[in-house]
Amino acid sequence: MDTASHLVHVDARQLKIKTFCIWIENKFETCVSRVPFAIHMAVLAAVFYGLAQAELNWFADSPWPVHVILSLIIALAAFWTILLMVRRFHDLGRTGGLFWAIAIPFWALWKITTLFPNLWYVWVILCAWPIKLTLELFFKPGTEGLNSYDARTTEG
Amino acid sequence: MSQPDLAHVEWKESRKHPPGFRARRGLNWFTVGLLYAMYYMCRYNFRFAAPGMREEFGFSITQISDIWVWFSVAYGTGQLVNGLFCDRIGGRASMLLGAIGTITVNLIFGFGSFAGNFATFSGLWLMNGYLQAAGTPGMVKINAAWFNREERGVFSGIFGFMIQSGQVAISRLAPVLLAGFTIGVFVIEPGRWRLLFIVPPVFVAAAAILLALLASESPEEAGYPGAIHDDVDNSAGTRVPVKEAFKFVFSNPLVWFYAVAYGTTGAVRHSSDQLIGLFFEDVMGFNMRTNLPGVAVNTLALIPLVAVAGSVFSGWVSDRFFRGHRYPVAMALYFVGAAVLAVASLSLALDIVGPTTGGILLGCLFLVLIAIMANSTHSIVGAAAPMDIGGKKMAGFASGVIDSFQYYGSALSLFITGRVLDATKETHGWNFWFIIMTGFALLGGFSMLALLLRQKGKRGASRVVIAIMVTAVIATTVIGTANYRRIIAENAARAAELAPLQTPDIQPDNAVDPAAAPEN
Repeated sequence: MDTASHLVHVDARQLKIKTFCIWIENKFETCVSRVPFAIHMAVLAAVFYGLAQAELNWFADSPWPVHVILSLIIALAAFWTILLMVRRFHDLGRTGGLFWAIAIPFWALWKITTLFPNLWYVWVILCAWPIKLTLELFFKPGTEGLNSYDARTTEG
Repeated sequence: MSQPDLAHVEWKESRKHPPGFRARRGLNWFTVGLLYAMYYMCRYNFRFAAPGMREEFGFSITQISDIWVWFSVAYGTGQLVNGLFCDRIGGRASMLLGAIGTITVNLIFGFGSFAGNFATFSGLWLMNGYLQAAGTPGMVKINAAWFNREERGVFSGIFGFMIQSGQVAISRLAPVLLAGFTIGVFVIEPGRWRLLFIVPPVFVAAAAILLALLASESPEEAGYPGAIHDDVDNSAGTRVPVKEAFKFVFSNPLVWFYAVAYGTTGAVRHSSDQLIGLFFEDVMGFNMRTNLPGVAVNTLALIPLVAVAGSVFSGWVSDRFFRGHRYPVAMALYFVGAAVLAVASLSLALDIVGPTTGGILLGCLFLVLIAIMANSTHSIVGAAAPMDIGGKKMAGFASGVIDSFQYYGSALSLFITGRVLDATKETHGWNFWFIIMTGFALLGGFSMLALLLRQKGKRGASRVVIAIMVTAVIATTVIGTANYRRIIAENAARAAELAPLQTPDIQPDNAVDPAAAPEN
């Protein structure tokens, strides 16, 4: 017996969530080439730097709602960064899941160097491949014509 | 086509989904994982409260361990019972009911413990154990419906991340609460361990509301019919009668191999998790009651994070190279874990681990490695295997049975460890902590080896391994009990010898008993 042969009731809220999920997934499915990617990343770097400076210099003693708003802006900027990286990987014909291959080692590195500053060589071991991937994002040209990720978008 | 090629093709095929499905599953998965993570905040708060409780009420290691033993027994039994009900009422309802229960019990523990004693704490934590047991079957059941077999390993690992983030959250929150703080005119003094049972329930409540609003029982209910193929029963719906689930799961031999192995995972995982605070105090010389040192806080926060990395990796290996079979990877993890524990035990015996810079770092490294082993097997044996065995309809009870053994293993391990440490701490320090865990890890490895041989058609060899395991367990129990009794008798004799010698120090020869002194 196959699941598809049975009708299961789907309520209105679930349908709205489904529509939202299709929309958000399509945001990740497209590609971005080197130059727009680099421009967006430069803007995002400026945004992150500005937010960090603002939090340090102007809003350090502000009430908690200000910090919540700042955190929300940072979260949005982080989301945009992830989105761009995934799109750029798609442009290279590779899975967007490689985002984690960059994010996790850098994050782990930050934790380790905070805990044990003397273990600097871990940096070299841990981040060799992520650095290569990062450089590819900025400098490697995308695939010629449509790749499997573009095809996935057009199917969707 | 060779097995690795076949595994690769199946692995790739399992990843093709309709538009929006992956995002929808991610959202579902996030809400379920978040609530389960918050469950952990209302469970792991105990280990941070233990040093404060020991100071206030004078509890021994045995008593602290016994409170967790009661929790574990109730949790294990709750898994069996709640797993059956979960397959009947659905995973979402099961998780929400558990959340309401654990919020209530934690608040009673926090507010009502001023008049508490050992029996009260044990009783309350026993209730918490039963109610928390509604979480795992619910979580496993929901995810069984949302993932193909070849996807479950990795996603169980990533799910481990969600789970462990609860542990990280309480590891970060507890020091803040224990250090004391000021809100407006309210001043909270340091060492108020009761707050650990009052604040975390707020987080559980928020996550439960999110789950109620966003999570869906199955892809069909979310508008994705036929998106997932269930190897066990692909017909529509996720619920089955209690009798059917009971019969299916109890008659499946795979369940019992995994259950024994998972029992040993629980024995190692909970022993290291629940006694780590006391280990830090007694062996490393840390103050774990009011002012937790940075290295302790960071180790406690790092443990779940590296454990998750191990869980994801082991899940991926089992998906990618073993066609969704968990036992080969689990077997390797158990044996490597046993080796690490044996080395840790040796290091402790040689005083290499202790309150020195190198000793602290090495001790923390061992704890981190143990956590990787315990939590990797926790993910692939406890979360992925029940989904593979029970499918979307009976994963709840399959998980209940397997997970119940984790907590029976935990109860047994802590029951033994608490008593052995109290008896041998004077002479051997915490050495037996690692030795007991080594034994359990070896047992887990042999259990998976027996399953591996059975699945390869070598039933005779599998039975030989089982016979060796049973003999080893009986021999260890008999010899261990005899030695324990001897040590207890020796300790009592030593205490009796020392008692008269200590009296003159307390009452010198020229001391005057005020009660006997003549009144002027």
